[in-house]
Amino acid sequence: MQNSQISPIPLNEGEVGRCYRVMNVNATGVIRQRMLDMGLVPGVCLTVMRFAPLGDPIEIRINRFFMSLRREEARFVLVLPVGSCPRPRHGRFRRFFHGGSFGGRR
Amino acid sequence: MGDSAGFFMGDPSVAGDKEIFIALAGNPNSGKTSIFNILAGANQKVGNFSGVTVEKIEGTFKHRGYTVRLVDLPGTYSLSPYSPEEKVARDFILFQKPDMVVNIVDATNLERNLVLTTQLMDLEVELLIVFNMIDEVEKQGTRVDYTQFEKLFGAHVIPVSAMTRFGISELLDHIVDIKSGNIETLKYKHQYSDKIEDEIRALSEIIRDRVVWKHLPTRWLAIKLIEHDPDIISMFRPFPCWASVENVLESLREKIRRFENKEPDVFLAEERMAFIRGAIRETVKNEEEERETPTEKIDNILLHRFWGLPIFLLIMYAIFQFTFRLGEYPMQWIDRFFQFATRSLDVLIPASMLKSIFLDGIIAGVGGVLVFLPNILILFLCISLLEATGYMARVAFVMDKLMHRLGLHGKSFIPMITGFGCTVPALMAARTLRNRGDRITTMMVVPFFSCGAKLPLYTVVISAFFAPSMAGNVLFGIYLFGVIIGLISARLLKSTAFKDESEPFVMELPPYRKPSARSMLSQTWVRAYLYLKKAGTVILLASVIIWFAGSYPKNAEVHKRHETLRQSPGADIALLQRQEKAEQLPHSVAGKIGKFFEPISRPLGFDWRLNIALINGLAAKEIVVSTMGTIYALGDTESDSRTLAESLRSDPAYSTATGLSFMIFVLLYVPCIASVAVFFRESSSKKWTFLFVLYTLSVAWIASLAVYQLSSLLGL
Repeated sequence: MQNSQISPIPLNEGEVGRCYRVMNVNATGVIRQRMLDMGLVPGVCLTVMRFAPLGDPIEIRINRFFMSLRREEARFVLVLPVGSCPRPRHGRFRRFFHGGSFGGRR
Repeated sequence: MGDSAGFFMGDPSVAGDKEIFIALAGNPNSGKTSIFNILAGANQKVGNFSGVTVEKIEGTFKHRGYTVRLVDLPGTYSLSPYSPEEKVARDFILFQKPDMVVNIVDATNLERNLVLTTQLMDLEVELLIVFNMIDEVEKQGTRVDYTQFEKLFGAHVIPVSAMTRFGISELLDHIVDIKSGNIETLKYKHQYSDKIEDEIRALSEIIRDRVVWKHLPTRWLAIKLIEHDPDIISMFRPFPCWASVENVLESLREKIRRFENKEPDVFLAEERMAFIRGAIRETVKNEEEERETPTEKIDNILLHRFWGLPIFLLIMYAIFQFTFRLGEYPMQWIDRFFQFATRSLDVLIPASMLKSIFLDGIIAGVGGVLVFLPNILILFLCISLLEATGYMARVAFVMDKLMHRLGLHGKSFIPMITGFGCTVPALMAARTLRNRGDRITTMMVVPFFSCGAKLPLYTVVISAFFAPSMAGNVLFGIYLFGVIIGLISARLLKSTAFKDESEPFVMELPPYRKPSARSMLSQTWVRAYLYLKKAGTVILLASVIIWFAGSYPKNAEVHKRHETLRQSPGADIALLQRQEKAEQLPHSVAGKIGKFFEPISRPLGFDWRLNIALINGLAAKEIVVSTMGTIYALGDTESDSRTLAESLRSDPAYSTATGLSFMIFVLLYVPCIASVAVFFRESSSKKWTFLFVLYTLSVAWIASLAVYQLSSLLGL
């Protein structure tokens, strides 16, 4: 965290109890669709809650929403560690009023 | 929708002046079903959406002179074409053209629930948004600026609470007001950023004039093209315009990839989410800092690293015991009732062929159908309790690693262990699996988890051929053998037929909720009803056929000889009747079939008599033992299982090897007609039902062959 140049890691390497911001979703097909449909999209902030007793599926929290995914699926989600996910709604307002960022710097 | 023909087949229903046709859409766990139940009351009709095994529940009610027809769409997170439920929901809205889509939104979890709402907005339907569980939200001190929200989403919002019934009458009034034009409907605001809206507009212009699907919203088609929706692409592909559209589309998609460094559909999803979060930020005010929710506290225990697994196993054990131990009593009552009915009718009705059909065929058949009902009711009550409380998703979470090794999904665990009780409810329990590949695979292997009805046979055979000290080990070995075959089969199926059809595990762990008794009971009743309706008729028919095959044709000579024997003074009529039945058996159709199969059953050690028992066992596994009783002209087999074991042991035709091979065959072959009927109902595939029968039969034959030959070699 103290490191100024943090690079994204795959979500399956996330640590329990820490917060991450989703940078990209590189899964394909159904898995990607399911992730996007459930709100696992770039920009959102998530907390790694726990791993299942047998060690595989992983539980994450996005806002008040709990979801699980297998490690092999989490591999395709690139995340960046962040300090904390504020518990109440975290409406990070991006493009909604500013028009497109299409082509703009990110 | 795979074939694009399906696109044109919808029949937009002709709604009368005073009729309102509504589709209810919403996420799973959004309280959609509760609201449906409140609105439709008892006027519900359960069916399937055409062509798929997705349940369709319809209801009607009247309000202010309008007849409202309500269809409960499957609960989905989105309208993407990747799961049958989502496809059904999307096709229904597109082609059945409801007057209005009522979108039930869980107000405690707006961010995720509104993803579906934005997709409904893209479809340009008349939309009414319902904020359910508003009481919970307000309790937490949250306030919603509805006017502003309605402006942003371009749809009216009604806050309700299904729990307290707050807001239901406002909802009803609003539905009628929109239909009758009393209130103006709002116009959609576009949700994407200007740049992408421009692109969508440009693409819409291109396809507008070339597209034959005038009834589909062009803007929506353009968005789906950008997302590369497989259904829409395949719909466009056959048309000559596709080449030019594809060019424009690809350069647009490439542009998004280059500038945003993301796949276009990911980018659009991100845009939608940005819109949702912006809207929430602007209209929803939280006063209280949110604390750890009850769900988190419960999960800290139930999904605990060490205790999670034991707790889970305990719950499974309880359900299993509950279903089969408690179910035993009503099963006994049903059984006794039918025995009583048979006995009383036996006295009342004069002997005739019709009487025999009625008593031994129909009554026995109805009994055979009803006897499963207690198990089904209790098990489904438990399953709907697991689902309603939210624990079902945790079952999958806990078991997934293990089941995934077999290529299956965590949720397959429940049908599999239920198989130890009875295959019929186990097959029905596979419904909780949403992916077809996972569901069919689970259903294919369920019969190998030895069901309760096979136990009496094992007991008889084991006591006939094995020392009492060995009995437990042999029995355990049989069960284990079934499990191993089942697991191997699952692996096999998942790596061949359903190679690419795996359900992603990406799923919600819904908040724990207090289940509503009403919806649990109604769900259970629906299952029971479907079972009785579909399986019932088949089992009934099969019982009559099997009875007929076992009784006819009769050999006149045998009959005449027994007639005279019965006339003689001091004759034991009951015993003689049993003996006649036994002697008639080889002459009956069943006997002939048994003999017909001898060439292929010989290598397994079965003669025609065991074949008859196996064939009759198709009706129900309990019948295997009672048929063997008939063969040996024994009385009520329940009390005489020791005599039966005695007869088997002293029969020179049978050896320990035969016994082992016979048990293995019974363990593995087609469970019963009821299970085949239910398999067909649940899979709605003739091909897979046929394979189900064929596969279990072949596995049984091969395994028994191996066991018989091997143990004969060992001199057993």
